[in-house]
Amino acid sequence: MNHLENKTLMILVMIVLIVSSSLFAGVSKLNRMADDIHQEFLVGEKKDGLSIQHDLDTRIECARNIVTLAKKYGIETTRANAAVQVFEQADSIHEKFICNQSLGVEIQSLVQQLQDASLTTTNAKNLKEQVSIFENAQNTISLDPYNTLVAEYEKETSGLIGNVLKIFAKDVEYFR
Amino acid sequence: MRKFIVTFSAILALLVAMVLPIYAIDVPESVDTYYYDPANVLSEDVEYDISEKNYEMDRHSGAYIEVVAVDYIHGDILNYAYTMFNEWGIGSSEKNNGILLLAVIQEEKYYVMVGRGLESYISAARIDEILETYFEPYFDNEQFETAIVNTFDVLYEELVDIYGVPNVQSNTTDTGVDFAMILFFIVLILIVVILISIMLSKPRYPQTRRTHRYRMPTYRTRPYYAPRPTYRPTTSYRPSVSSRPSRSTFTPSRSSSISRSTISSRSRGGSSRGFGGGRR
Repeated sequence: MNHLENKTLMILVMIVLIVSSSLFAGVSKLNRMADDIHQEFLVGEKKDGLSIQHDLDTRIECARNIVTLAKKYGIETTRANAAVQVFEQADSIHEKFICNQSLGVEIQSLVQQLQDASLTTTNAKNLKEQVSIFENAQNTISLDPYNTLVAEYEKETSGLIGNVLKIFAKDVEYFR
Repeated sequence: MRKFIVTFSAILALLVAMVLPIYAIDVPESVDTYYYDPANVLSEDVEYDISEKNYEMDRHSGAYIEVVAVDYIHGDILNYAYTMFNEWGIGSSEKNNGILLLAVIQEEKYYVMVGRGLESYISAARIDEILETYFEPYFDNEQFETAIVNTFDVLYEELVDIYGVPNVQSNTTDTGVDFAMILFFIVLILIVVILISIMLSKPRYPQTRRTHRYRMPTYRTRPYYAPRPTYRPTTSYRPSVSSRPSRSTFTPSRSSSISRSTISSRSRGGSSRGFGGGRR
């Protein structure tokens, strides 16, 4: 009980309490922002499932269909197939971005080969559909506000205090 | 010092270049009609037909097709369409079910963008198919109006497939509001009548007066009753017939252009993720 009468100690305790509560509040705010950003990536701005992840899944699905079609015409699909498999196992957002890019290159090459092959009318139509969906998904990814939200988070955590808070908060990464 | 300035300027220029593509897209102010035609490719009759069909579909489902024909956009049509769609808030804000049909006449570009609420109904492949069949051949042949009308009609049919045929009878919103208002006033009048009858049937202070110690010697006091309320339910409390929305109010006339703001009961602000197709 004598400690309670020690003024210096009490001031120190107060300072520690104020600093820790400010830290806690700041980290909580950043965590909420980070959660929203993750939600944006996974379920979309309006939480309706229309998100970058949804578009990436669409692209993987289309890529699989195009690979199957290419196999049917005896076109070499090992690289495209590997790109699909690596993409499916990609975990971080940056990895997904890289995998998406390489998948785009591989599928573009396959599509060119398929267009040179003499496809049946049904297959040609099917290829066209798959390419439309595949490319459109890339368009919507390019317009998604995800990276803008990450930029806002980065802006929030710039500066000395922000950098300190960032150490304790959840991490977010650009889709690039 | 000079080296620092050069480096700083280079970094600044790079940053500006990175930011510019995002913010440099300048779209016109939102219009209050279902078409925007500064390129002047649509005739009055076509403008009327577009407005009439959109008007009914908008009332019915909140969905409509905004037709835009401009001469130049000076940039990427995908970004332009995306910015225009979201700044104009095409479609209902709840359903996000608008469609933008954008034709850039002098640059020979076009794009159809759909709201996020329609993504599960109209695939990108279907949009490409529609454009290739109904838009591109006419557009390339400089039959701009035909291209727009044909594509509009097919897109409209897509909306009909999704939401059904719009007609005055099937609209529930306006009549729903009307019934709700009438019901509200009936209940209000009933409550008022009940309250008045309760107040009139029970004197407020009879007990108190009876037990009062002092009595006026010259006259007998009458028990105190609450003053009769001055309010009486009259017909003025019911919504007047003229204030109620009638079907005839919503019937578009050829003389007046149909604007989106006429349908005040619905909220605007539909959004799109850039889903669609076209020539870039």
